Amino acid sequence: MTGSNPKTTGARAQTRPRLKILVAVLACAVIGLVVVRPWRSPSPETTFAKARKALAAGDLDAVAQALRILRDEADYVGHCRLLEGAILLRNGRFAESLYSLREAARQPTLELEALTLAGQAQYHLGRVGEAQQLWSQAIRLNPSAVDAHRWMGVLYYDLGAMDQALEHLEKVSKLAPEDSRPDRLMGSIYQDFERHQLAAKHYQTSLQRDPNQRDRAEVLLELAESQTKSADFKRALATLALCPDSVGRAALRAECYYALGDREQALELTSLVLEKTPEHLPSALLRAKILLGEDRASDAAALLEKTSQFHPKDYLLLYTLSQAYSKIGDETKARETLAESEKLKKVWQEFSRLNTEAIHQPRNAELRYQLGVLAQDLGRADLAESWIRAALALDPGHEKAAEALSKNEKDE
Amino acid sequence: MRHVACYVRAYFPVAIAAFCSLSLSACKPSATLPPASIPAPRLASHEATLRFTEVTLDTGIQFRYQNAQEADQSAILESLGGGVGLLDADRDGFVDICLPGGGTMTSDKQVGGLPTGFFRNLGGLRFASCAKAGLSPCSFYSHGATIGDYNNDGFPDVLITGYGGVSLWTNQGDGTFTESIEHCGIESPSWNTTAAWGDFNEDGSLDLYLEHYVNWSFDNHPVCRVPGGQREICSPKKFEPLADQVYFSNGDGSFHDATQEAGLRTDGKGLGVLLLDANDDGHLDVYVTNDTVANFLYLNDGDGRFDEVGMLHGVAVDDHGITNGSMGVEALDYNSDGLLDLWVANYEDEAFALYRNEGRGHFLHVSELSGVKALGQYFVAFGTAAADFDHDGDEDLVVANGHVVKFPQRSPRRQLPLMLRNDEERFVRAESVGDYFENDHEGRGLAISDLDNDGDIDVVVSHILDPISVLRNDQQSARWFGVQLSGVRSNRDAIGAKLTLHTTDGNKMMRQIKSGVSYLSSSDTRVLWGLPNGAEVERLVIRWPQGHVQEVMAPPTERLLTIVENVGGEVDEPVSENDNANDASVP
Repeated sequence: MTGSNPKTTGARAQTRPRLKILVAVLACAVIGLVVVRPWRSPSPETTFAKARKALAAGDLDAVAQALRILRDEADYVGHCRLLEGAILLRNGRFAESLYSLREAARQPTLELEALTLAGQAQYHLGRVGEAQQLWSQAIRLNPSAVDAHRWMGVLYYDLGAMDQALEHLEKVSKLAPEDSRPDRLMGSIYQDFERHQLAAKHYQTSLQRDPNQRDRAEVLLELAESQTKSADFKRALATLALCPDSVGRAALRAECYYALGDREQALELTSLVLEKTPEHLPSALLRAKILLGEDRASDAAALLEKTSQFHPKDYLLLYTLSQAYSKIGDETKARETLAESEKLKKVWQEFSRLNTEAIHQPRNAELRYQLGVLAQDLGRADLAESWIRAALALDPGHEKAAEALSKNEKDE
Repeated sequence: MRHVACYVRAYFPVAIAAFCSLSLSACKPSATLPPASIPAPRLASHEATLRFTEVTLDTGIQFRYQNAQEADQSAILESLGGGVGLLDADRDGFVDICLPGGGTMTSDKQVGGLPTGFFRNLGGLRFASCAKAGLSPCSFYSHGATIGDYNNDGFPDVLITGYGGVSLWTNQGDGTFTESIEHCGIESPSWNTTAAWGDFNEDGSLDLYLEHYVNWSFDNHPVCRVPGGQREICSPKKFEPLADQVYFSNGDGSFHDATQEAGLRTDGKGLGVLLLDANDDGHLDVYVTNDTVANFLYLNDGDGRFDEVGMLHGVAVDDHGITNGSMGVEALDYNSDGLLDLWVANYEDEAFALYRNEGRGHFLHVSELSGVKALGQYFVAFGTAAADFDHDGDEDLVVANGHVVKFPQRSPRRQLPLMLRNDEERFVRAESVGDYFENDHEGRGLAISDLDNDGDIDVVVSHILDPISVLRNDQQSARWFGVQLSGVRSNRDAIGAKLTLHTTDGNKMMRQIKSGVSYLSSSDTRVLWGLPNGAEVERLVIRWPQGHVQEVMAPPTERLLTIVENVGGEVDEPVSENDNANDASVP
């Protein structure tokens, strides 16, 4: 019989649990090392995912850091090319980025992304056709490629091919239902094409998607404008009530009040607007119309003469002025002003016609140059420059466009 | 025009200068748009008393205008439709109805005519089809019916206009007609739309203004398509304008072409014409509504020479200085200032145009101010007429609407007609005025008359393919006053006469005997005033087309008076009350 030392036994007894705890702790440490290690030193996939996020956030340092890690991974050569290309693209080194992106596109899982980025690079290089081709390819790979649709929308928008732009923006709107921006842009496009009800619908969608968007005040004002233009005056006033005070708001309120029969209010508001911004054309025209209706043709003529200094080539202003002269009884001035207005209207009509043609001929550089020339004739240097740039984007060798642009820049 | 490119900056965070550098201008779109909903009407006050009942089935009239769309040629010819002519052909005091029948097109591209309908008013809103009247056949594709007593014999004659010809049917004095076109000197194998009779050179005989549309033919028949690819009727912009014509009467029932001496423009695409004294100088002027090009206002020097002043006088374009697709036309003194204002029914996306007469023939576009713009811009509007439908003392408006193309992108092909009540110089859409106004139609021509001689104005509307509609005004107010003028030195129809009714409440209600008006149609030349409660007729002042003024003191009300021109020009009361030739029965 072995006798046991209770003290020793007791010590052992105490030692066993300690051992157990130690083993457990060690086990945990081992497991922890196994489990936690990847967290501390993420997998290449995770690193790549983080790099993408950083790229989207514009954090190029983080992207570069991820790139350094991924370079050690043999299976991630394509991923590295993609990130390199993206960094170069963001740094404005478009041509260099293309090489990396082409390499990246060889890997099927990266092809879509690489094509989309390469399209951007080409676009920035002014190679519109190539960009279009790359994004189209991306969309063929995945018809829901939201970024490719986004860029196609931009491309067509810039080229004045609005039907095509709208087609892609509609897709973006559907694919990214939380995004308020595509509908805002569509609203603007429809507004420019005087399709005011559709414009209002898209502005409303944009506001519903993000009621607190950064440009809420502007969007509301644009919505009110489209409502006013579609003769929905009461709704427009309700929208304007949500807008902060501004000249634009006062001008639209004046239009609404006039249409709803409140001439006094309209007069007061146009007075306010013109006091602050004497060049405000819509308010000057509205005020002149009210004055003409109140048998104050001389006042209307004086106002329009003053406004014409800011807008010497606005045919509607000149038309209204001719009406005022005619009512005063100054037939000579009335006929002269009307003739000038008609001349400008013809230019404007030609401009509108070509604008519509541009929608259907998205790759016609000459057409865009012509639009630039007509815009210049209409005294719209801003529009002229836009169209001339569009012509050059399509045909960088368009000599007349290049000349016109450099002349504009010199003038400025 | 707006500059929108900067929105791209907000839209795309990776913005670059190029994204913000491009823009576009506002211009008419070409892409498709979904149909718009028709806005809820604004209620006018005193709605309860304005109500129309469609009584077509009870009238016995069965007639529909045929536009040959079944031939599937997608020809612009299909889009115009037909008018309504109202006349008391047999002078029995009841107004009869004349309806151009339209035409046919065959697969081998032949255009033919269909018979004109003629329905004699038997009284009590019963009509009988009257083939005996002799208004058919029609060898051309017909559109319009223009009524006027061109030979001053006291019986209204009928001019049918259409594609490829016009026919002049002379009333034989018994309500039957014989064709007179071959010998009358009017020759127009062109595309004739609306016409109007009026004495332009003030010789006492009616002259003719004849509108022409565009140079479409099967030899000039381009293929137009909607964005979906289907073949569509082409816009009038695809065609060249056809110059209008003026024929002056020789005084013996024949005419000569006076287009050159009258000084007409050659660049109109005319659909509506209205003869009125626009500048109140006593001479009959001409207002022409053109499709997609500027409208014309011809001021008459009294000898039938015209000065076109539409642009200068503010009635050629809308308030944006833009030409409209103008169709129907009417003149009314909507603000009771004694001057005739102009009302134009336009294409969709364009507001109806109300041009307020500012005096001396100058006009101001007041569609916004008068509430007209707030009606929306959904309608493709055609036939229209002004009358005091609700007997409140001012003139209201009725409009027939309907699209012209096969695949409309914005507003539907069938559209609601409009009854617009004049509510203190603002027009508001009258609601619950009858089933007809609550249903969609493809409306075209429209004319008005007191068909049942009950003192209120009824309406007849022509549609594309659907039967015509006769709408009985169920006005409850029994207070009215009506006259029919009979010129002696002036033309017998007294077209151009200005009538001002003075009432004891100080109101002056001015009307003119107009010609043309509406769209491809002719309304009754009898004039009816509704009398508001408490108003008694004090006197009626008539300025005859020849210039002299005749005054009728305290004429009896609730009856139609025939007033014969007093050639002595004295201010007296030569009233012939319900004379034998025009014994209008008054219930």
